[in-house]
Amino acid sequence: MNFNSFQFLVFFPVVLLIHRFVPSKYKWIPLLVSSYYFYMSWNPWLVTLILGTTAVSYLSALGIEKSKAKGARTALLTLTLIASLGTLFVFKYMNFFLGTSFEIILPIGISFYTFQTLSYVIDVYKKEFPAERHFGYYALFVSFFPQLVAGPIERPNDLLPQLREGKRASHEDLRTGFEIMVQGFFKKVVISDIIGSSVDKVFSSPTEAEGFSVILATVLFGIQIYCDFSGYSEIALGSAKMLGIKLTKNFDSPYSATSIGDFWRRWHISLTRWFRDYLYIPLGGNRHGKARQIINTLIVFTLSGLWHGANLTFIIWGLYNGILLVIERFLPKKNYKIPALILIFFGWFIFRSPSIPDALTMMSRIFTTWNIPLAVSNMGLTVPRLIIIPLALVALFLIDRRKEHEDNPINITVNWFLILSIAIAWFIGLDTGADNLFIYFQF
Amino acid sequence: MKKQAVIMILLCVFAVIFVLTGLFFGLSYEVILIPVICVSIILLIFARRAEK
Repeated sequence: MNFNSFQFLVFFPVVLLIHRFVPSKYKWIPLLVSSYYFYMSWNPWLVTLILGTTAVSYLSALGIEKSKAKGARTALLTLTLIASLGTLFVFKYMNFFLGTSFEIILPIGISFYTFQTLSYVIDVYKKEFPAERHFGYYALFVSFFPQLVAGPIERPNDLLPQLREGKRASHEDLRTGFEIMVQGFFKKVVISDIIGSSVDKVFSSPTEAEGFSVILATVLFGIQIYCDFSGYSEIALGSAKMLGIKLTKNFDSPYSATSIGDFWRRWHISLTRWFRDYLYIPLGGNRHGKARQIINTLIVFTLSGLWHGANLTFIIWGLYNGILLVIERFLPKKNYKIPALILIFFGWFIFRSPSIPDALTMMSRIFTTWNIPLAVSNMGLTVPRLIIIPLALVALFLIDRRKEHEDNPINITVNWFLILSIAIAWFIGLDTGADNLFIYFQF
Repeated sequence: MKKQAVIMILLCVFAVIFVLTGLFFGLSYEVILIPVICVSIILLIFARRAEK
């Protein structure tokens, strides 16, 4: 069930209604049932996988907490890491690394909930969080539907206490949650989906790409991926807020970053934090001299690239960002806004290319003809779309700067106009027949 | 505030009438979307100014 589907439009109000009328003590039950229903709507068999991951991490955390001997605790942690990362490897990376060609369906959201369960077991091992005894609360922590398939990757001490509390959302939570959801839908349906079809046309046939279209598609993809993923995160944050749960903010105006390091503090914050706390710091972080710091940064970013998928483009994209970050550490501290933005967008070009040979082909195509009208027409950018895209970007700029605000007639009307835009853009998507899945669902 | 609320309600009603009329006369969704986004931008600017 996609957030931008008719199914979700029916599912969410029903869940919200039931959730509001159930006593706090039992609120976890409808949430757990609806989360499993949400996940099973993609493929009913996936339930066995998430249930298995939940059971293994739940039992091993209890075992770790119970064990007094350090050796036993470490052995249990190692077994959990092998089981979780092994499952992830089989479903996501086996064909890529072993060169096999088994027909394996990638379970949706596997990278997200695997990392979430790992953070829980590691926190219990480090005695930073007590093991959860209630299986229902823990199962909900792993499967909470707003953030199940594409994050934010939550920490146990942020989410589990809220699930136990079973807070009823206040009217203010309902209002602001709804507004955040509307903003997320606007980013996804009005901007990302409209831009996406043009980007796909260029990247799906690299040999036919024309010089200008490569540049334009790269810029548009940078906008698309931001609107797609931050839009998803806002829908997740907003829907959770309407259910009385506060999720971690995943984006903080990343394209206004003044350096590459600043960008990574603003982009996919929950994943960056995960890699920092569970990989970079345990590797030694910046505590063992410059050389070790450089190696640690490169390892973390390469693995962060690999996390996105089993493709050389992701690994090189990760390594590329690591190298940029290392170089930046040797530069004087200044505002590098424009160069950083250009380098980040070049990174998106690698990220979006179907393969490295395709990326090289497209790069060589930049130096061919620059027939702007032909490029625009080949990308399906009709006159109305050429007007809609810049206008939507102005709206995006204003939306991103919209803070928590009062409940006045103008703000209410803004929301209704955004909803009207979403509805119209949704029909455009239905007309073109595109599936318009969120990009990060594939990871 | 009351006057502002009335204006905003009228604006919403007008927008719905505009969209339905546009569809009736065979305008494409994309063409209809343009003025709706324009009004959204104007309202976002007004909302921002009102907060300042």
